[in-house]
Amino acid sequence: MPTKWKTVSVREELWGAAERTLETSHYRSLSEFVSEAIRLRLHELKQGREVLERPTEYPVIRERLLYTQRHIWAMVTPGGNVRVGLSDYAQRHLNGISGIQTKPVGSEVKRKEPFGVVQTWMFMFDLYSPVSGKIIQINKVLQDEPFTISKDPHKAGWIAEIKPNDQITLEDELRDLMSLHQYKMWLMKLGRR
Amino acid sequence: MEVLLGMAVVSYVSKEKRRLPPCRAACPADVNVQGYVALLQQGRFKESVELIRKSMPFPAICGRVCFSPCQDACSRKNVDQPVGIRYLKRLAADIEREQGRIKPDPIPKTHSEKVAIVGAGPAGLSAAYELAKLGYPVTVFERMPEPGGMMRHGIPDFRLQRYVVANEIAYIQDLGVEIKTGVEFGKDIKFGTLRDEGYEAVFIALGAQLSQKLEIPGEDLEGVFRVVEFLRNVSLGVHVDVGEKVVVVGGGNSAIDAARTSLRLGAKDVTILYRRSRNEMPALPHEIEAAKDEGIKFSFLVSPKQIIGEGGKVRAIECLRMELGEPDASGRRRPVPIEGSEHTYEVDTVIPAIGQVLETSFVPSILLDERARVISVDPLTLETRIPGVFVGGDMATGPASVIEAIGAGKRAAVSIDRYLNGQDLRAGREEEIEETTWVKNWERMAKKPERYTAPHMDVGRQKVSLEEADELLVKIKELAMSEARRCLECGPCSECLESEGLCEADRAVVDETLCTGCNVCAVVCPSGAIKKNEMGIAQVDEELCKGCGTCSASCPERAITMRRLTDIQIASQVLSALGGGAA
Repeated sequence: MPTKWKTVSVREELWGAAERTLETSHYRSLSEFVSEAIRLRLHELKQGREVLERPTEYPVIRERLLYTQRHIWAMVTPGGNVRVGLSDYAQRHLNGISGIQTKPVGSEVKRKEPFGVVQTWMFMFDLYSPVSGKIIQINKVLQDEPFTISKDPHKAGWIAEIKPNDQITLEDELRDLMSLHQYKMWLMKLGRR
Repeated sequence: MEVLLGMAVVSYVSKEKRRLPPCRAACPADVNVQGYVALLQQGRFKESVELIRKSMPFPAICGRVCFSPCQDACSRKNVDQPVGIRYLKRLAADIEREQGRIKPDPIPKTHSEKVAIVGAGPAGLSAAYELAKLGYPVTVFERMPEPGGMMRHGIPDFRLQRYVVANEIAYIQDLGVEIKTGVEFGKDIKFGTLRDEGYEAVFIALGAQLSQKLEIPGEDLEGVFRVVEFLRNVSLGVHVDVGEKVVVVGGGNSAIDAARTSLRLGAKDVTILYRRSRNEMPALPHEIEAAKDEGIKFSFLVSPKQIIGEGGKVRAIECLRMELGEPDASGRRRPVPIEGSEHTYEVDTVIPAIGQVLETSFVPSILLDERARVISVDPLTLETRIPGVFVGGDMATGPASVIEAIGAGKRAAVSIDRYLNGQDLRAGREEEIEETTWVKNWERMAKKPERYTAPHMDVGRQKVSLEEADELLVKIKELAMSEARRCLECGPCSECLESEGLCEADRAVVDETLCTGCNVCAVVCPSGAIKKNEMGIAQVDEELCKGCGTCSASCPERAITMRRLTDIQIASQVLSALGGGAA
């Protein structure tokens, strides 16, 4: 409950716009419209802060984790394959994960093209591959327990393992990806939008 | 004398009259429709789902597959189109889960009497849910490897996704209900063994698991699939080969489901044969539309005469044309065959989907009625001739719907609770429900036809980028809120949602100096709380008044005002209602 009322002045053209909105939209009163506007603004501010402030638990292997702008991490395994998964930032936006579907083992994937989808209760999100190659393994745990991604996006929640076509292209493709630091800067940029 | 007195007490059945809005009166599970729509109007999605959960455990399932009698009864149909109640329920449930995993705390077991429930379908699980909420230790036994009954194995995945069913059942398990799968009644467990294991009450809800036969020649050929088995096998992931041409016989939801499933299994040409016309089809209209959109053909006024085989396999189906005669007992016009109208369709697969029957082979004969077809059960209390054994759902009523099964499960839970406490099973339960709306003149209601229809989420969810999702969710919420605002709030009130902060605890107060005794208030009061006293002045019955303010708004003399009750007044009213005798 607000303890003190505060009078604020509103620019005239803004006032006109608010009145026009009220006439055309479903808001029943000015106070409803204003409270909705305040709520949205607070939500926006909160989101911006979250990106900057919330500490993230990254695994020890962080120096080898690379990120794409589509919020996918990629990690080269000791065997020379590329393991991919969803970033922690993405996971936090997918609270209602209901399932993950990927192309079957053995299928070809191309860089920057979808290799599967994450489904939440209401939406579907494409998973864009960070590298080109062939899917050689899929994390079966996610079929029964997709929430593993929320619990541990970088380790137990990995999604697929891709065998690169050749080493030279792989090097090129990996060079295009972002380091953790660069990725964090990218998220800040997104948050400011 | 004492015996007589005792009997008099037992046979006394009080009939209570409940005034409910049409949507709620129509719901077999007594979901507070007006209440949750009112919460949605304010954008309180979480509270809205919690309110639904007070009456039943499956908001997301019903939001997808319920035949929504509430929507058919909605008063707004008198003005423009009814409020999209089913879709609102689905949105509320989906939005709740989109925002995070729902995990309730287990309910402490306050009773020691164990209850066994046989069959983990909608009826069994609802009963388990209600009993668990009351603090009973409940065990549910299920024959299939996964719980859910027809919701899991009878409704195809494209209409009711597996994760939805699994999620709703996980909620019930989290409350402390134990579900044992792979246990068959009549084989692994029997009445006797359950009693030996210390279960003091049993609720049996096995559903109607057998498909009704067409009773025509050729029904045992290879390539004729019974609809229940067909849908179950597909749901279990068993490979079913339907060939290219499929004919489904029947006009219900199972027929549509079987036809749409066949398409997904690779059939090129799927036709539904129905012996009546489109108007008599019992399937849900939007399901019929969806089937048409997918390219399924319909052949009305056609009935199969025989299935023709070749080498033990189906080759063709011979049919007769029908015409509609006089209405029969169900009120639908009876189809009459036209002589000499035989014609054949070349087919690979025939799926008869003309209804389901229950399996009675393992049911003790004491439970069956004279014709040995249905189980003899009290429709109100669901008790059988064996004390402590209750039967409900499709098994007692014949094939019905999810929401009716939920209603049966709830009734069983009340009966079992009373039975275990040694109370009368019937007292006070035969309520008379009266549909009430305060709206007298539909013509004068403002039209709000801009209706938010569901995007085709049955087919697939909307594909978005991570950045768009938040914005889209806000947009969807706004649309849901504006759809909820189309509710006329035509009922008496949403029934004491004071705790939800929805309405303020008001009370009508009559200024006796202004009242002229015109009686308008008594006419408009939806709760019947206002009567004239001997002086001709309006008197408000405080117990009945729900504080809706209708009288105040309609009083021509402005003699009625709404007064906010003080906290002390509310407390004293609550105490006196509880029999505490407050001042």
